[in-house]
Amino acid sequence: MAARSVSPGAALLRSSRMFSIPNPIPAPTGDYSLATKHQSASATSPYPTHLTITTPSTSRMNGDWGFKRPLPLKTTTKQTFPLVRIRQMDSTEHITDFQSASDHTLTLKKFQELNLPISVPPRSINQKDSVARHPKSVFEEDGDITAMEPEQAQSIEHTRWKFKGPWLAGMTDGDFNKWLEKKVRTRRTEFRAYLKETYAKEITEEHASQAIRDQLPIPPEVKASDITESQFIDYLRDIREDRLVLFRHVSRFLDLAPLTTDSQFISTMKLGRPQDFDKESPYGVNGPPITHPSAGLSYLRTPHFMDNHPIYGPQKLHPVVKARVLKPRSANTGVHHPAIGVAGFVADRPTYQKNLGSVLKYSPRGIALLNLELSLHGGAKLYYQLDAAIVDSSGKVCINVSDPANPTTELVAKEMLGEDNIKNELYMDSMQGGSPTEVPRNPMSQPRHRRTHIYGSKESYGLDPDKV
Amino acid sequence: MIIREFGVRHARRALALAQPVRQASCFRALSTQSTTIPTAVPDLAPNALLAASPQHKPTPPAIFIANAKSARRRKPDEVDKTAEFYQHGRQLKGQIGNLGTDVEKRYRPGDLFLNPPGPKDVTLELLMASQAHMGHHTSLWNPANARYIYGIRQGIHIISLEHTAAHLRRAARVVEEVAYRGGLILFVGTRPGQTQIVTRAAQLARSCHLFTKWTPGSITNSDVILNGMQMQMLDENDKPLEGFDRHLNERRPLVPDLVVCLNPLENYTLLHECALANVPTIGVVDTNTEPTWVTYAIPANDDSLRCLAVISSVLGRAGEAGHMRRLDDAKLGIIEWQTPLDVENFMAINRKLAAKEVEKAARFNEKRSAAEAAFASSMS
Repeated sequence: MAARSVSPGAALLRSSRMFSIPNPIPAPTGDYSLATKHQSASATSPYPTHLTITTPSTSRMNGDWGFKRPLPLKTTTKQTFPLVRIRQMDSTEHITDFQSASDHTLTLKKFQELNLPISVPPRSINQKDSVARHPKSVFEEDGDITAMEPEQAQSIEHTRWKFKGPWLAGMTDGDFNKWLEKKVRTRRTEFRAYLKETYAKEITEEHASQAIRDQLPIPPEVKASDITESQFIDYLRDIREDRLVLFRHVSRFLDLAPLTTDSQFISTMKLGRPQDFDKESPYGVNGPPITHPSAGLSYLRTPHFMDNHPIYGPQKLHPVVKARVLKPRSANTGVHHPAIGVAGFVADRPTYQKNLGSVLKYSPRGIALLNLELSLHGGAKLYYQLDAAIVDSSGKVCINVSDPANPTTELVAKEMLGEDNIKNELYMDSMQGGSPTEVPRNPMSQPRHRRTHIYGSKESYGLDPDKV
Repeated sequence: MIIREFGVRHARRALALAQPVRQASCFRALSTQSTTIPTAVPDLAPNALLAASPQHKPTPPAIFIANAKSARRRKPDEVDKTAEFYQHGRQLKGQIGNLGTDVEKRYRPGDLFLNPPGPKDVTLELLMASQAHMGHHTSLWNPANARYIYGIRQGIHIISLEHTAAHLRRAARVVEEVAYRGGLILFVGTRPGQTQIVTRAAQLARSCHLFTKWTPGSITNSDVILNGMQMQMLDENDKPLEGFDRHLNERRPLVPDLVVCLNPLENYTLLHECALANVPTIGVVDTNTEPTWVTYAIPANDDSLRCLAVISSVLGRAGEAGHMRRLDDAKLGIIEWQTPLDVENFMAINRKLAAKEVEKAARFNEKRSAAEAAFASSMS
C-alpha cells in the first residue's frame, strides 16, 4: 500500500524520534506465589518494558532530552551514563514521568561483554544440565522460525517457538473459559470438517498399507464425503478415549503451543494406548517464549570461538568471569544453595557441583560459598566459567555457570584485571629498592614460589601434559 | 591441528620470555615511562631477553606506583628518547593525519544564544528539533486550540508545525513593523530558566525585558507604580534631545507598544492590563492556554526552554531588523512614525511660548530703542 501523501510537517513528525518510540510492552506478571511473600517495588523487573533514551552531554547539562520540558538536573546529571526511560511524556500533574534506565541498559551491556550465546531451553527438567554441556543456539535453522508456510506448521511443531493458539498449561481458569467461549465454540463445525478430512486420510493410508501387505492393487483414495455419519461418530468415540491423539488433533487445528508432562503415566487412559507425547518440544515444559527465544540479548550463534589473549595468544577456554556470592549457603535461614550473581543476573550451577558442599567446606571457594563475607566491599567474589544462557518463557534470563575447569584461566583473568596481589607486592618491592626481586638470567630457573605467576604455561594454552 | 601448532609456537616464545617480558610489556599500554624494551611483544626474540642486563631492575608500570615516592629515580645509562618519539609522532601524523572522517557537530546548545536564528531561519525542521510540536497531556487541553492541534501521540497533543511556523512568521512581522515605527517592545518570560532567553531577545531588539513578577497595575496604574522613573527623549537617529526636561518631569510613565509573553498562563494580569490599555500582545500558546488572552498567538510548546529560545530569538532578530531599517531610513530622511500627541502638544506650547518670548523681547527692544532715540534727541 502506497503511503498517503501528507503535509511536510506531518511527514517530518512521522519520521521524528518521538513518533518512533515503541509502545511499552506489558510488564511481567511475576510469580503468583510472590503475592504472599515480601515483594520489593524497587526491584529490577526481569525484562525491560520501555525504550531507553540517551542524550549528548552538552544537552544533558541543560536538561534537554528532547521531551516536552527539560528534565530536572538534580536527578539526571548524577549517573555516569545518561539513560532514562519515559513513562509519560506529560501527565495531568504537568510532569514528564521518567526513570533512570541504567538498570536494564547496563545489564545488557554487561551481558554482551560475556560473549555468551542464548541456547534453546531443555526439553524436560531431567535434561537441565545437558543444556549447559551441549548448548544449542536459538539461531540454529531448525528452531529459528519466524515465518512459515501453512503446510509446514505440522512438521516443525516440535522445534518452532511461535504459535497462534495459547499455551493451555499457563492459562488461568477464567482465561481458559473466556478463550473457549470466544475463540473455540464458534469453530465447532470447522473442526468436524477438519476431523473428517484427517479421518479420510488415515483410512486411505490404512487401506494403502493393507493393500501393499496383501500384494493387491492400491484402492482409490477415500474422500471426506465418502465417510458416513455413523462411521464418523464411531471415530469420534474412539479418539475421545485417547486423550493424547485428541490433543494432537485439537492442537494442530487451533495451533496450540506444545505441552509436556513430567509424569510418564497418565491415569484414566485407555489401556494399550501410548502414554507419551510424540516428541518433546523445548517449549513444552514452561510454555513458549514471549519474544524470540534470544530476546535480542545476544546474536552469537555458537560459543565455539577462540578468545585471544594479548600476550598468550589464542586460548582454549573462554575467560572466567568474576561472580558475586549474593547469598551464601546457610541451612538455618533455608538457603540450601548459595545464590551467585554474574553480570547482574542470578546464575545457576550444575547439580553435581551443588552437592559437593562437604568436600568444598575447607577450600577457599567453599569458605566463600558457606560464609557471609563482611570485610570485602560488595561481598565475596569468585571466578566462574560460563556454560550457557537461556531466556525462559516468562522472559527471565538464566545463566548456567560452573567452577573453572582449569585453575590457570582464573589466574589469567585476574592478571588482566590487575588483581594479582603477589605481583603488586613484587612491584612495590622493586620500588623500595629491595634486593629480593633480582631477575635471573635464565627464566627457566626462577624460584619455585613464582611458578604460578608466570605468564605462559602449557596449561594456559590448553596443552595439559596429562591430557595430550 | 593448526591451532595446536599455533599454541605451541607462542607457548615456546612466551615460556622463553616469561620473566623479563612481564614487567616490560604487559602493562606497557598503561605505563607512561619509557622502558628499555621499546618494541611490542611478538617482535621480541630470545636474544633481546639475553641483552637485558642482569642488573637491570624491572621498571614497574606507573599505575602501580601512584603512592611510591621513589618513582623519579632514573638510571644514568637510560637514554632520553622523548625527542625521538616526538619526531616519530610528527612523521606519523604527517602520513596519516588526513585519514578518517571529520565528525561534524550539527547542534550545539549554545548556538541559540551565540548565533540566534532569525525569521528567515524558521523551518519546520528547526521547530521540530526544538520540540515546538509537543503539547500538553490530552486531558489538559483547551478546546479553543483545536485548530492548531495535529493529533495525539504518546498521550500528548501534537501541535501542527505548519501552524507554528506561520504564526511565528506573522508575529515576527508584527515585531519588525513595531520596531520600525519606533515602538517600545517588552519581552516577558517569568518562569525559571527564561532569564537568558528574554534578555537576549531584548538585547537583539533594543527593547525591554521582564523575567521577574509583573507588578500588577504597571500599565493601568502606572502613574503611581512607575512614578519618578527616568525617561529620555530621542530623535529619529536615536540621539538624545535637549530641552524636554520639563516635559519628562511631568509626563505620564511609558506604556509598551507591544508585549511578547513567553508564558501567558502565569501572566494573565499583564495580558489583561495590555488588553485594557489597547496594547497588542504576542504569546506562546500551548494546548492548555486560552488563545484569546493574546492578540497574536504562536501555538508552540511553552515548557521547553529550547523552543522558547528559538521563538524569542526569532522575534528578537525581527525587532533588530526593524530597528536597523528605521535607522537606515532616518538617514535618508524617511520617518515612518509620528511624534506622540503629548510631546507634540508640549512642543507646540513651547513653540508658542518661545514666539511670545521673542515678541516680548522684540517689543522690549523696540521700546528701548525708542526711548534711547527720544533720549538722544532730547539731549541734542
